[in-house]
Amino acid sequence: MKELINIDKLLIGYGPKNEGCAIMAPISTVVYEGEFICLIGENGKGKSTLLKTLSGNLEALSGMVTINGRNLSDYKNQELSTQLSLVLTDKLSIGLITVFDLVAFGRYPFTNWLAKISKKDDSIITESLKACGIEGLANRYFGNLSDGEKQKVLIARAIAQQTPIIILDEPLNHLDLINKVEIFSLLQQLCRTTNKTIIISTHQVELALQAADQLWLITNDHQLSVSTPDDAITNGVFDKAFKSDKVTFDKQSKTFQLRTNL
Amino acid sequence: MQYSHRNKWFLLIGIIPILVLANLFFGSVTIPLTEIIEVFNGDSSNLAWEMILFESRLPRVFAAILCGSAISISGFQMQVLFRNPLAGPYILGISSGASLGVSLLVLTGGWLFGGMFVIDDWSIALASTLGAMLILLLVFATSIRVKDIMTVLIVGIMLGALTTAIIGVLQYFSSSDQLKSFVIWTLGSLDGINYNELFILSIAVIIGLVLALFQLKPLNLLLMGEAYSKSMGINLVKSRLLIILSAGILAGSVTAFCGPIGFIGIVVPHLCRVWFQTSNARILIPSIVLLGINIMLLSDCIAHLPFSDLVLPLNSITAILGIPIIFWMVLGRKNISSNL
Repeated sequence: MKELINIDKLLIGYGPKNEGCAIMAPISTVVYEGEFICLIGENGKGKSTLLKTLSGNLEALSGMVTINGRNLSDYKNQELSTQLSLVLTDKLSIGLITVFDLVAFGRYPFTNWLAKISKKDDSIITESLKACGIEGLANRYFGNLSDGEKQKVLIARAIAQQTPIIILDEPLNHLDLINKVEIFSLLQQLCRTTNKTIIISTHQVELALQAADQLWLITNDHQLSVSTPDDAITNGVFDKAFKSDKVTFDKQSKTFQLRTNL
Repeated sequence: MQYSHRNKWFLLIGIIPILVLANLFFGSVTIPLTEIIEVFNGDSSNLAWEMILFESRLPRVFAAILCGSAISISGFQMQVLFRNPLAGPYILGISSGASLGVSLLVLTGGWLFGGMFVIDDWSIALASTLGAMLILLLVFATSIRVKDIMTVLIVGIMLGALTTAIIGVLQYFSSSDQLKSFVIWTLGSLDGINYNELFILSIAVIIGLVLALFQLKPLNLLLMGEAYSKSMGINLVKSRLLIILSAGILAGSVTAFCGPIGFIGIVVPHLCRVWFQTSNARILIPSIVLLGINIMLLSDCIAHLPFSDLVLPLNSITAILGIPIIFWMVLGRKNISSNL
C-alpha cells in the first residue's frame, strides 16, 4: 500500500505558532492509500481541530504533515484542491443553487475562469450524483432538501472534486439512524471501489467499529491512539476513551450497553 | 429549463431599445419620433432638436446604461462578499467617501485646495473619486490585515458614519449657496454628463465588469463559506481584494459622475435571483447587467416626467421604485437571507 499522508510530531491547537495552547499530545502516524479512517472522541477533545489542521485550514503549532511526500504548508490552495476535498458539519444556507450546480462547484479547480462545465465535467458530476444515489435530485434546489439529502449532495460534491483524500467533519450530525447508516456505508463503499482515502470524524462508535480500517481514538489523556477496531477493543484503549459509570462496552457484541445494576 | 434564462435575457435585451427611444422621446421638449429618426439619419433641419438629442439626451442614455450595470453588479458583489442581503454598492463607505471629497470641495468653496479648482463637473468628479478611493484604501488595508469579513464590514460602515459626521460639520459652516450645490449633487443626476466624461466612465465600468467576471468562481464558491471556497482552490485574500476593488471602481466611478444613486444596487440583484430562480453567478451576472440597464433607463425616464418640463431628483425615483420592492422581499419572502 502506498503511503499518502505522513503526520510527524504534529502539535495542534490554537494561538500563535510554536507558543500557542496545544490541545493534544504530539501526533505521529501514517495514512495509506484507500484507508477508511474513523476519528472518534468526546466533544471538545480536538476532533475538528485535528481535521482543520490536516486540511490546511488551521496552522499547526509545530510538527509536520506531508501529503504525497510534500509539506502541507507548501501546497497552494489551488494545488491542495486537487489532493483533498472537504465535507463540513456546519449547516449551509444557500437557497437558489440547484443540486447539479452545487456538485459542479466541485469541478471548479479544473474548469476555466468562467467555470465552463465541459462534457467530461458533466459526466463526472452525473457519476458523482449516481454514486450517492441522488441523481433524481439534480434539478432540485439545495435549500429545499432534507438534512440527509443535503449531506449526500455535499459528499457528491467532494466526490466530483476527484481528490485522493476526502476529509469529513462529523457528516452524520443532524441525521436520523437510517440516513446515518446509509451515508456511512456509502463512504465505506467509496473507499473500497475507488481506492480513495477517507478520514471521517463521528460519534457513531458502533458504526465506526464495523467499518473502519483504522480507528483514530482520542483518549482521556489527550493521546491519539491509532489501531484497527479489533485491536482497540482487545487492548482496552476503548474502555479508557469512553469511561462512564452509566454505560459499559460489551466486547462480544461491540455495542454499548446501559449498566443495569444502577 | 436549461435555456429558460436565455429567453429572459432576450426579453431584457429587447426592451432596451424601447426604453432608449422613450428616453430620447420624453423630456422637457417633446421631439416627435419621426424627427428622432430623421435626426439620426442626418436628414433633420431642426438644429435645436439635434442639439438636444446629441448633447443632452443621448449622453444621458449612455450614462444610464453604464450606471445601471455598474452599480447593480457592484451591489451583487457586496451582497455575496458580506453574505448580507441588504448590502449594496455603498456599504463600504464608498459613497460617503465620495461625498466627503465633494463636500470638502464644494462646501469650502475650493478653499481647501488652495483655490486651485473651479467648482465644475470635472473637479467634482475628481474630488469624489479621491474621496471614494481614500475610504476604499482604508477598507482595503483592513481586509488584508483582518481575516474576518464581518470586521471589514463594520470598519466600512464606521468610516461611512465618520465621514458623514465630518460632512455635517462642513455643512454647518457653509453658505446656503454652497449647501445647495452639494445637496443637488447628493440627489444624483445623469444630466449634464458630456462625451469626455462618458469616455472615462465607460473605461472604468468596463474594467470593473471584467474584474467582476474574473471573480465569477469565487462569487459562486463564497456562497458555501470560506472553508469550502479554500478547499476548492480559492485564494481568499486575493479574491476578496479583487472583489472589493471591482465593486469600488464600479460604484466609485458612477458616484463621481452621477452622484450617489441609491437602491438600484440592492434591488436589482435580488430581483434577478427571484426572477431567474438562481444564485449562480454564471447566470446572475449577465442578468444583473441587463436588468440594471433596464431599470436605470426606466428610472431616468420617470425622473424626466414625460409630458412636463419638470425634472425630479433621480435618487428619489430610485428610492420610490426600490423601497417597495425591498419591503416585498423582506416581508413576503421569509428566507431572504438564505437566498443570497
